[in-house]
Amino acid sequence: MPSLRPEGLLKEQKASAHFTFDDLPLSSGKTFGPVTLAYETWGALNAAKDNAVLLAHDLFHDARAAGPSGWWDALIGPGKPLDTDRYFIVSSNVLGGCSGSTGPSSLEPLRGAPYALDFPPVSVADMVQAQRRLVDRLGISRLRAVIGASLGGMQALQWAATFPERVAGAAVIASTLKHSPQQIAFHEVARQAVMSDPRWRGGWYDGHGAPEDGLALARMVGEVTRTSARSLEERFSRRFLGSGLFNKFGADFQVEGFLRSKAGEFTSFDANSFLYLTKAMDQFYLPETQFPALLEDGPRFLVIAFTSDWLYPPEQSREIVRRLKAARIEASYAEIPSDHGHDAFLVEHEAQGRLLRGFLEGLS
Amino acid sequence: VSAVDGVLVDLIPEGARVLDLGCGGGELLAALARAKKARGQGVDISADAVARCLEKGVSVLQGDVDEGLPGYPDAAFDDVVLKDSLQEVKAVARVLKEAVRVGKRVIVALPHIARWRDRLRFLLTGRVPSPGGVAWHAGPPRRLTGIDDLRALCRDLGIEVAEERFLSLRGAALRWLPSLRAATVVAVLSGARHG
Repeated sequence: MPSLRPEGLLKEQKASAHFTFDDLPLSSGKTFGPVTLAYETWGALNAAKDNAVLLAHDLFHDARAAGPSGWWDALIGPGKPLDTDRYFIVSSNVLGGCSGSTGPSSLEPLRGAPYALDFPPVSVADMVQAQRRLVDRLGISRLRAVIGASLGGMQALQWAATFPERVAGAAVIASTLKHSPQQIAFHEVARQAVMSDPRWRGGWYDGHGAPEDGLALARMVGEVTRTSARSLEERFSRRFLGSGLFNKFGADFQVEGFLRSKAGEFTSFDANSFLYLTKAMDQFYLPETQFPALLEDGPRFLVIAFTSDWLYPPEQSREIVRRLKAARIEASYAEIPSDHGHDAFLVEHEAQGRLLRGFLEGLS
Repeated sequence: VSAVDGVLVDLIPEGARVLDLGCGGGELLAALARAKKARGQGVDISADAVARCLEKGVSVLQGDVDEGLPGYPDAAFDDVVLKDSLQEVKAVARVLKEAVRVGKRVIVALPHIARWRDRLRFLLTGRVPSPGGVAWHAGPPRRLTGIDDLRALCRDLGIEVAEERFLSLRGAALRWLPSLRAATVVAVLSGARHG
């Protein structure tokens, strides 16, 4: 069928590439394999191989960072802050994810059925070890920077801690050294929403239809925690969807309609993958001994927080900065004023872009 | 490079680790990196300053000067610079004590508001000096500073004033009656502990 899209107006969303390797020793002690990572790249690796930037995604996204449906399309491209004329941008779907990388929904090679709960627990450190194989494969010995927000920020921290000699800069956005009990609690509510859906079937839902209702509820929890009181006020206030009369628990308010529509978008995410990834985030912890071990000429840091982010509050970013100060590591910290809560990293393009552009230029 | 920055670049040794409190757009730290291969770290409250520092390759923490020092280990830096910022901090004595803990040396550059003109004007008109032509009610809250007051505070805190430099309004070095003529004073301080 001929495309009806006018040329030049819309870029095609390109398909992800895949890289598979045999086995990966996990931080749990187990060795797991084969492992596939889905990834995308933009720009080209230069002759000196010193212009590669690794992008790490958050819980709700994947490798598709640029392009029409890319979560950071505003920041990636020719002349944009992550300038594809200058940098080789690599973005990979995490180990344990469900967008082409090996995760609980991948087929176990012997059985030919999804791993489901036979999938081993994976940590942020394991995700980074898998990415390191990909970076090796792409011929990159030292990354100019690892950039990520939220779960992606944890990966950036982990990269700097595990491979300080292979990273010139780490940009850690709206993230933390460890989840607080509040963050774990919200994740637990979301997990319980998934697991209490009868269609979850103890994780073995393959062939029976996914626990979509549970996932939808999990997404609602996520959506509320990622926004802010002020942004909800501005977008919806107490406006009604219809007459405003009680309609037997249909959506009366616009904010209810918004949550319901967001929830519906999430049902393509694999439920078990959601459980594994939220656990990896809850378990993430960089012990104090990791940072003093950093090299004198190791990575420089850029830590960014958003004023209205109450899920990953600025105080957690300042804690990262305190850790870096104690280790005498060169660091930059910026607190971007925003009403968008945790979602600000997907919205505040101009302020983030200016900081990231400068940070990348200042690294060598 | 401004005259004061020139003096600071001159005072700071090759390869020093420098903490610049109230670093603005990072001009001094960038100049120090070029001229002295110094490794710099800045602190500034302004978001715009943070972005300008990053563009120069200068690391900078967004925050108050008052909060910039805690968290660093003792003697983490060779030089801690307070250029045109000590007069705006909330707790001057605490910042100075922290600065001599974190830095082996502390270099303070301050407006010198004790020129003969300032003294005469106050005596004759009763009007307080307005440094840089900024009226007392305008601009950020700031203290009126002079070398004799700084010396007295350092004496009280057990901080040694190792060196003083005086600059005229045009940035020329002054030797004759400097405390009556200087517009800016640069003082090198060191804690007793570092001798």
